[in-house]
Amino acid sequence: MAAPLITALEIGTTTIKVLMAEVREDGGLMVAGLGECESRGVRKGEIVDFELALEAVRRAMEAAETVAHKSIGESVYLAASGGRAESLLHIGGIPVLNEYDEPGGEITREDIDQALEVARKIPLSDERIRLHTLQQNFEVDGRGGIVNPERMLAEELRVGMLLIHGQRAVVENLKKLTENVPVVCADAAFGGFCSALAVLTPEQKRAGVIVIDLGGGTTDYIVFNAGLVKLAGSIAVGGDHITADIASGLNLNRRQAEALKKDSGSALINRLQSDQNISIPAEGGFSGRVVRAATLHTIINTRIEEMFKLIADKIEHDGLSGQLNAGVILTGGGTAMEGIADLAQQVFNAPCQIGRIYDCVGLSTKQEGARFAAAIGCVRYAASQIKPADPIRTVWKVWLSKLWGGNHE
Amino acid sequence: MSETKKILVLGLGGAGCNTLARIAPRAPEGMEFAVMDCDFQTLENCTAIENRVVVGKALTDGMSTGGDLEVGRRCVESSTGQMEALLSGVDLLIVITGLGGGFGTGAAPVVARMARGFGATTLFFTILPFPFEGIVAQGKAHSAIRRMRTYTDAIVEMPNALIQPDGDILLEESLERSSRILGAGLIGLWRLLACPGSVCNLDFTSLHTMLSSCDAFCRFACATATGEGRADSVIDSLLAHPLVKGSGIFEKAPGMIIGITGGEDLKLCEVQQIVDSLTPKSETCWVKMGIATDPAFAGRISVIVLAAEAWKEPMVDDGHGGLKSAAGNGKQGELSSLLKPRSKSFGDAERTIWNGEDLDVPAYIRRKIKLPR
Repeated sequence: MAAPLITALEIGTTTIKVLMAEVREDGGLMVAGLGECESRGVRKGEIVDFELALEAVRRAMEAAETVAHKSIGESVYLAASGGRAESLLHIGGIPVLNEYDEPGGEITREDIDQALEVARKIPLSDERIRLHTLQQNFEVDGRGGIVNPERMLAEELRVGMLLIHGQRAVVENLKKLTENVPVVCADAAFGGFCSALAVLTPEQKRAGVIVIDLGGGTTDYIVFNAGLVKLAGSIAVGGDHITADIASGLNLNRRQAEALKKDSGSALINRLQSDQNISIPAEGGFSGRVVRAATLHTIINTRIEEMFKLIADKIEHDGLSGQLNAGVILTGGGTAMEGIADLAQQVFNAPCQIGRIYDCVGLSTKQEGARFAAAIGCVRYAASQIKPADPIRTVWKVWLSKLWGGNHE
Repeated sequence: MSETKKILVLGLGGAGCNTLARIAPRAPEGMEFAVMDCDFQTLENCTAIENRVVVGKALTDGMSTGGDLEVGRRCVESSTGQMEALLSGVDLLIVITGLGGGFGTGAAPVVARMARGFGATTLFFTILPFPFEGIVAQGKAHSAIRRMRTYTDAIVEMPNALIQPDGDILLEESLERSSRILGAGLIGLWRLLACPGSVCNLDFTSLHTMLSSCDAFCRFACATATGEGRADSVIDSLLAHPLVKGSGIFEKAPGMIIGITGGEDLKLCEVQQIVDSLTPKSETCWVKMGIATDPAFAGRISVIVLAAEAWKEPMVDDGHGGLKSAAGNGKQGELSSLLKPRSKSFGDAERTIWNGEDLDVPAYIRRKIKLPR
């Protein structure tokens, strides 16, 4: 019997992607179906027109089903970009007691479970919704970096939890959209986290790495260090902003600006090209015009550099800038911009590359792959959630998964 | 014929039209003026100017914008034909406009952009509202300037509070005085550029160098003096000019244009004294001067100074992330989002506010980068 087919749905600002894939036993992915549809009614990862967006999702799903020759089934996993995601580190701890209920003793399995539960209880305002709760290393009597504290002697056991939370209204609306398709939304995952799962190897996660997903309406980032997620977030600025900047700076309409960005855009201001002129063809009432490459590249460079700097500032602020030995990995549609990796290298002062999906068969080219990172990662995330095939433990695991990474309210 | 450069002085909106209406009757022959508004009434009052352009007739039906800068913007954008007729062939466009209201505030950035499209060098004299006109008017003016600086070559900010004299004087007199301050400067500048009688002509290219390198903001001062010790007194009144007083601009300006007009009795030592005492001591300062003599100026000296607040090569790229100098010193978050015009580019999605900065506004505007042209 083949492994179950998992469907991931990514509702982006530019495109809606549906990916159906099997997860083999060794963790490798086998893409069965792929559907893509130009997104409508979505701005900055939020739904602004429900009906249009619903139509687009349905079309993408049909496309995927046609390719796969299979039906999507009942449930999908949602990769929510949604802008405005943030992470919050919360540290909770308990005193460790010995068998006479006196302070100081051997840490037991129960102590660990209790500490984890305390740490998980993170107060969140009503406007926010938790997407992931990710465990950090344990801290025993103030000594950090402990992976498994069981049977250690201690007086206090503390553990950190990194909570990734998004805007409730945005995520709920995305879920509601899938339910109107109609399919069940099994879980919603943070898009940036998914992208990281798709492109990062365990070595990179250990060495320290930033993954930046450059979407159409949002830019997600996530920072790994020592194998754990240290920081994550999302800025509601994306490729659409670059297009809007070009449109206003060069006085073009959106479609012309988009075409200009795709054909002649560059994230770097290249001296050799700066004297070049780019002609914009005449059409309709527009009589055609010539713009300077230097102007175009300055507009793009300013926007992307600012975007990277905002992320770099955040990383610096959290004291993580010195711990990124594996550098910067870029994913998402924005990676098609010329020179973007070089610009990221300048801003972050770290090696930078375009992400490549590892251990996955069935995708056409590598470049195509970087665009599908979030969807692929979402399948991988889903597989990690439903892995236990042991029927006896399923109920327990479902409960646990709800606590851990679930989308429970 | 084509050797002389075409200079057009354009009054935009209520304040701009009224100011020009006061200046125009005193202007020398050959100086070209135009006024533009969407309000018939304002233009009717400008009897001294022949070239009166009504824009946006379909939008406002000849009435004012009612303080809505969005209407002002659309008025100009919808009148491409009229703008082309007005601006094509113009080499230097000098615009006088009041910011903080409807038409001028909305139209100025569009006019700047169009003028650049027609290849004109642009110099904007912007009259900023009084503090008592309220925070909303101030905010509108500031955001208009931020939008303008991308396309204009130079902006001279003239806060009303500085150019209107203090004290117990009649409103009419106060307006007359402030428009004389501006008028004298404008005419002086025009004379230096256009008059064939100049001894040491301030050529158009020098002005262009100045304007395109001044990183968008300029200070402007002018003064006239007569009689004994006129050189001393002209220097004193320049230093005390309301638009430069207390700014220390003469000590630190990285670039400066000095224009001196005198009668046939102008002496070299006077010129030397004036230039010496006005120019900064810095060796890197870019100074260009022009001297004109005119029999009508017998016994008088008139000096105008245009000083750059910052100096920057017009090309902003240096090949490797060299935009850093342009960013970073910006006053961020100076406007509440309430005052910013809502952009409709991102549907109804919530604005992206990050550390008090509105990221939906194009990055090159917020980072104060002048686009290479």
